[in-house]
Amino acid sequence: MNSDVEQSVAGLSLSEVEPGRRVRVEAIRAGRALNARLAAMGLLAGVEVKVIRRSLTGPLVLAIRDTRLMLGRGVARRIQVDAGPLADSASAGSGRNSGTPPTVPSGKTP
Amino acid sequence: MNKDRRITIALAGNPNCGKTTLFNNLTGARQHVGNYPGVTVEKKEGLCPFDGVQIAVVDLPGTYNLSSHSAEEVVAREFILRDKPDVVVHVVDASNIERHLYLGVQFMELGVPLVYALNMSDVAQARGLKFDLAKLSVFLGGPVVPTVGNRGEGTTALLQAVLDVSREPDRFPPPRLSYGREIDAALTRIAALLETTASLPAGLKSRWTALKLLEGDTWVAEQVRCLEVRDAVRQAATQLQGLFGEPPGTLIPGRRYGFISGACQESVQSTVELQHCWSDRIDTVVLSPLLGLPLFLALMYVVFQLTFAIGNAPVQWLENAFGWLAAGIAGAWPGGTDSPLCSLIVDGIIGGVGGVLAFVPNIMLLFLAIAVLEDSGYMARAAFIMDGIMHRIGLHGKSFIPMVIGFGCSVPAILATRTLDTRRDRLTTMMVAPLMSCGARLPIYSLFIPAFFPPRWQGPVLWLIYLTGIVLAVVAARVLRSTILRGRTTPLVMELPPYHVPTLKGCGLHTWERTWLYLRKAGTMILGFSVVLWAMTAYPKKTVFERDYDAEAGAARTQRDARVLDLAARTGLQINPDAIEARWPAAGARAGTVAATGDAFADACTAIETARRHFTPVAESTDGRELATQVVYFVQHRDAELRHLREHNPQVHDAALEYIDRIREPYRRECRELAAARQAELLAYSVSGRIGRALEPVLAPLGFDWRINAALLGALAGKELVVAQLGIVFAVEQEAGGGDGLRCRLQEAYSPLTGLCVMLFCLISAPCVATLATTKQEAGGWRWALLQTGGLTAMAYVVTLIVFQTGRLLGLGG
Repeated sequence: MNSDVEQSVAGLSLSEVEPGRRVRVEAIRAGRALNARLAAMGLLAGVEVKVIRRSLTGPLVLAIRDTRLMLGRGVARRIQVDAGPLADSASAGSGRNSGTPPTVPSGKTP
Repeated sequence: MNKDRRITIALAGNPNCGKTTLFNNLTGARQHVGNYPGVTVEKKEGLCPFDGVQIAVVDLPGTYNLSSHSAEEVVAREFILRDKPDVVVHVVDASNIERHLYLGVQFMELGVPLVYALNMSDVAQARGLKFDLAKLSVFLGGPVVPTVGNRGEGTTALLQAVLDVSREPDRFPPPRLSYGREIDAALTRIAALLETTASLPAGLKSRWTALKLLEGDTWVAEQVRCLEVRDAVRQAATQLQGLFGEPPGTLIPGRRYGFISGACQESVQSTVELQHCWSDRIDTVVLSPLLGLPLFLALMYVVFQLTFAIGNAPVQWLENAFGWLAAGIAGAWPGGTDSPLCSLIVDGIIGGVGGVLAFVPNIMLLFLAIAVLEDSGYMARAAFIMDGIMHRIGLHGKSFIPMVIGFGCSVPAILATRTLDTRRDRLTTMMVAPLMSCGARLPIYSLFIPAFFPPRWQGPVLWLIYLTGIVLAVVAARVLRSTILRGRTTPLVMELPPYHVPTLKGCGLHTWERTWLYLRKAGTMILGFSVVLWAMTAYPKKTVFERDYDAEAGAARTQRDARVLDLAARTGLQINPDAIEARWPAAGARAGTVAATGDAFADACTAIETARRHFTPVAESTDGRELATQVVYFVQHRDAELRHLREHNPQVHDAALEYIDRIREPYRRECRELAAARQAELLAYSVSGRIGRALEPVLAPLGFDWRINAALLGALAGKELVVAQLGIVFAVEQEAGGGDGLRCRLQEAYSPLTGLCVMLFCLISAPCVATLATTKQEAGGWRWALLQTGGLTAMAYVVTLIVFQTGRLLGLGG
């Protein structure tokens, strides 16, 4: 399937994003209920988010426009992001992502 | 216009949008809090007269969405669909308008008459946002009124707009949302099919139903049974998935946001980028890995202290007041204390009401603390901090707060689970909260531990018992999460609202509402149970006793009178014991308050007793160690008084001393013992006592005899009652300072192992009726309350059995 290919190329989940970085949500692999809940809080494919804080074992805090959202680790793992062109603080530490070419979302949001 | 017109409006909005403040502004004190039937979602209603119209305001639960994924959302949607309010007021946080309008768009889809309250507009303006209200109104299909909730601004304009819309609902035609050509076409097709197959559920609109079916809304899907429609929906969904690579459930929210940002681009001007600057700055401290946890623990400590340290003084006052009331009624009752009606009123009803009200100061303070934490925005941060740890137990980050409170009292702990969002988390927390050893269990430990353990071991044993409770709570939570409350841990998705200073009015109302709910629901139930338990210990009344108490009391009295006569004959004094007793006023009377009479003997008795009473409290309060100088002073003072008496009239002094110590004291002790023995016999004969005996074969493997069993029944009314019940069954004279006498009896009767087992059983077993009633109310059914009671009792049985039998095998006595 389409999303599986994307996963193997980009492969970056929100839970791996360093705090302070800005990323774009590519896809959310969650059930209907969670998807609807996240969408209602402004988290859906195509949206730009910034990771503000990440605790070692627990949840992380995101900024989506003017909303601060707390996400559990489990949820964050299911959110696939694209960190390429948007990273406004491409820190040296994020070498995990440096080799992958920026992916082009296929026919996503308008 | 009709003069006494009445309309209903619903307040809707996201959590933390200031909806509650607005509701309070609109309705003031004219509000009513209840629960929606069947669910534990608070339902708040209020009345707001405006311009000759009675406006009934319903505060819908705060939601982000109108799907059917949570109890709150279902409640909000069903209210709008079923009760059809005249106007829905959507409260929008002006500084975060796009996300808040996501809910508004769903109201538009429903086609209900809408008014928007652009709340906290002052903050938004200060942040550089400019709103073109007229344009926004056209886009959103309803008047947009700027309000400032915490200052009450814009309330009149809002009400005016509500009346306008209710009078002319057509003035603002709901805009027809477009979800893009393909989705629109699918919607039209499904809507038409719904109408031609006549499968549209009553009261629903075809396009909205089609939209919900396409989104995959389970509730709507259940309503539509027509297979043809279902096929069409499935087909459309597959087609859209193929076209866009995403299912309609993901596509449609995206299109909603597209509509919103289009509308906002046209009508909202942003001059600076919005920042959560203050909140983010506070969060760098509050959520920091280093300071977050200590700060949280410190705050919890403050909440705990506030609830129990400050709350305990008013609790004492209330208990004393009820004690006086009971004593007053019992004293003034014409038929004396043996009258069953008097006993019912004093022991059953006043005891029960007192039990209910005694919790109120604690509960109010706790709710106040929680309201402040919630309103300020800290509660969400607490969940962030605790989530990592609590997650491993299978609980939610927010579960920590009820658990801590449980150390004080299980009732407010269970009420505090209201802050948890999902039912599974709430129920798990509720079920295990009683394992946190509450304050009422402390008297049991402080009776048993000194009786059976040397001072060196007392601290560790107490610690061990508390720790056992915590460990068992963790185990029980894990078991529950993997059995009846199974399911993935609910994904943590939570908004961190910006911090703000909580308002006095908001917190006050919140506290009052919850306290009132407790009083009304749990209160009536606790009262009922208390009366039942009273009846169980009081009935059936034994009329034929094994001993003839009256005769024995008479014999004791005759013996005393004979001794008095002997003393009088030896000394040649006039002695009238009844007159002496009658003279002595209430305990604690000071010298001089008992007027001297001509009766020299009675005066001497009074003087001696006065001197002793002066001394005894001081000696007790200093514990015989500290304040030695003060003790010495009082000793000297007493001796001086007694010496004066002796020198003044040696014969009377010696006689009085003999009367007090050799005649009256033994007589009193005998009377007390007789009364206690009679009470013990009554209890053994009562339902409680019989149950205690009936339970003997079951509880004997735990090392318990019928006396402990009967005492444990008292634990149902309140854990601390175990001590009182044991006092009754062991027929310990209660006047004689309780504790030590009872401890000696316990020591004689049981081994330390049994003592430990009783404490363990009290820790784990069935919670008191107050907890039971609260669980029933909060979990929404007897099922959970009974499961809690049964489960905990079973657990207590197993744990105690293992401990007792292991201990016995190891030769620790039994």
